[in-house]
Amino acid sequence: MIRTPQRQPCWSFVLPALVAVLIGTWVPVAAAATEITLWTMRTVEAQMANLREDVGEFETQNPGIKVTIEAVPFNVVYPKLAAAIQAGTPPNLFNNIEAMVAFMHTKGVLEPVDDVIDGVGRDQFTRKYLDWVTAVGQTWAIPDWALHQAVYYRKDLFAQKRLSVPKSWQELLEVAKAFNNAKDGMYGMGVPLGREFVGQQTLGAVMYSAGAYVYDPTTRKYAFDKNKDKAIRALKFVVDLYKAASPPASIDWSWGEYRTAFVKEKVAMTFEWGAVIGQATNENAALLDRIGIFPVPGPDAADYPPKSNFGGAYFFTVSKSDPAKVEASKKLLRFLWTPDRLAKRANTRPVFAVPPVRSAFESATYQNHPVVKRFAPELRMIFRDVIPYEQRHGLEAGLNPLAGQIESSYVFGDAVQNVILRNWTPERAVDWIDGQLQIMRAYLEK
Amino acid sequence: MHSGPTGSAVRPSRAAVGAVAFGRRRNWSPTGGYLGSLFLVPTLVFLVVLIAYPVAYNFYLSFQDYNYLLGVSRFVGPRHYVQLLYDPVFWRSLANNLVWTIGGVGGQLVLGLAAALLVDTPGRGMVVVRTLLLIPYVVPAIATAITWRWMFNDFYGILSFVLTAVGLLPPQTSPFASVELAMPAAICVGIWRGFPFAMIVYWAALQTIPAAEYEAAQVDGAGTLQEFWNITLPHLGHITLVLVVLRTLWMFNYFDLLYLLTKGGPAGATQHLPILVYITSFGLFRFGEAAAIAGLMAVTAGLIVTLYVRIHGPKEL
Repeated sequence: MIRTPQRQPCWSFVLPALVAVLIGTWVPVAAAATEITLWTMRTVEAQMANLREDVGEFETQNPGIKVTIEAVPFNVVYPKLAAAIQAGTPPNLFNNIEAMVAFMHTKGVLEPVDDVIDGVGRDQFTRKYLDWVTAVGQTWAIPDWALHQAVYYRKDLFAQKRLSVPKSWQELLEVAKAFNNAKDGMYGMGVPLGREFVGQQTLGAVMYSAGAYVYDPTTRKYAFDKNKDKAIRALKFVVDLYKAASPPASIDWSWGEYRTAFVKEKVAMTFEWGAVIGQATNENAALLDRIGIFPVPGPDAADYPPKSNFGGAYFFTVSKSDPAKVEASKKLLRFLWTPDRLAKRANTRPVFAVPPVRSAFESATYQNHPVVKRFAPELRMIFRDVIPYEQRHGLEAGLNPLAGQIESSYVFGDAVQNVILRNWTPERAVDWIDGQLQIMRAYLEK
Repeated sequence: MHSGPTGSAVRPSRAAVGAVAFGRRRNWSPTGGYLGSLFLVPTLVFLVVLIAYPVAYNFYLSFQDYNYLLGVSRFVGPRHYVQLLYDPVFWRSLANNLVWTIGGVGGQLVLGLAAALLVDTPGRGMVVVRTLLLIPYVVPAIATAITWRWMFNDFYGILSFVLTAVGLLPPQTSPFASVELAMPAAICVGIWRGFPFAMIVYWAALQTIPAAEYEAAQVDGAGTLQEFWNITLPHLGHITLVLVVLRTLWMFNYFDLLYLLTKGGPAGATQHLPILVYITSFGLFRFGEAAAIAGLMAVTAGLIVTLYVRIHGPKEL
């Protein structure tokens, strides 16, 4: 006799499934973690590894918080952030630069972080960076890295020619000319003037050394129209320096090109942010002992080092969200802002990144890093004479929308390129910059 | 299709199709009009959401003064369009766009045809050659841009070295640093990037030319050049038109490669309309103006293609 298989009652499947679903849904709800997103504009692996390590430790100590890290490169940051803000999903934490802080503040998506800063100790921070991200009496970002722009030069070549560090534009021009050597294909000075970012940074370095502010740091009123003479003088000097001692193609150079030229010993000096040290470590370690750093000189040797120069910083911002996510984000910031962790983060790109907090700068973790040790006198000089006097286009008046817009437009880069390649006069170029800035201001005030 | 008495598929009768078409027998059966219409819904949704809405919104936006930073928008009518007509930056960008498009499309077609003729020749290694020639089309734009920038580098670039050696470039400089040479250099990269598409299309078209025509020509004593001129080229006329239209639209709107190569510099020498749209929107956050530029781009591209097809094109295109 053949037995037909007995049909299972359907509830015998349904009931366990129902129980499993209920358990499955109940367990995550009961143990729901607060999930926060962290975007970072740092894309070098060492930086990411350090951040992942710190965040991993934080998550272990705080099992109720889950952090998702995402790297956002410079060239996509505006479209990506704009889309996220439009969709109502900006990152809970964003490790970014000052222009992004201005942009996000204007869009009204930021939470103030004064409580975190006060917890670390407000007086420990480089004052200038806090000023840049302060508006209506509140601080909207916490400084993480101090950056600096200076002249990186070849000490050995200076010694060979018995030259000393130039203390004025004219001295810099003369020294740069002295290193031109057509036979070896060597140039005196890398003057990078690429249209995006770099042209603005190079021109900014010289303009600020002459005090050509966009906003008056004291009155906080628009002042570029009153500083045109200084700006014209600075622009003329940049053009003279480029024509006299910089490789012709540096009109189109970005960071990669001028750093490579310096590391491959094709230029004796260059405007630079310090990342060239990392590149030299990897590609020409023998050069490291021959590299020196001095502040960008101003027009007059008597004022050296100038009490104004172009700089920058990295920050962390916290976006508005539900209270649990905001609190989780700030908890992570408090965790990250110990002197030791700040020093370790800066050491992922030594010399390029400097801790903006005095206790972190003085910490053994920072000072004992081999690269920091090698450049200890230069870094002390930068921390003392350069960083406290940094300016950034538009941020002289604190956080405001124009600052972000100057960064994202190519006004300064275009102006200097047009003087060199399309025979604009410096006067016309500076008038044009002023006109563009006025249009931006009017547009934002409309 | 119906399933017939034997289970084999049969086509519905013309009468049935006509009846459905006129709505006399609309129903939910497999041949019914409702079901058929239902199948169109995903396509219609796709077209409306991804094409019609963005185009309409762009058109709407171009009449607004939309301050993205402050989130404020107000109607300004056709002001942006009028301003653009008097804006020298717009006209220079349009001129750059035309040079970029014409140079790029022309080069891609010529190189694509030459490569197609090469890979069409019999030979054992042609499979490898075909694969190698396709590489430019599959390499990401960012890798292409970085590689070519280094090849044009002033100190280490092999191409800069060659150009200097033949006297086309001053020593220790780069074409990307020259107002005169930046666009031709960028066009070369654009041609390199896009020619495999033309090659594949031409190669496919070459397979359709009857061998008998070549045999007859050879009997008549025609040489290779005469065969190419009198047989090959006439057969490729239609596909060339299709390629010109497709590649023109592609190159005219092509943003990423040129932006990654030059950022529109130096001194605006390679700034074409897509870069201008990008800078106006994500640099200056003037989305209304950017939308107007994008609108004029669409009109210009449409005009170019229409004009070309009117002059050269077969009516069935």
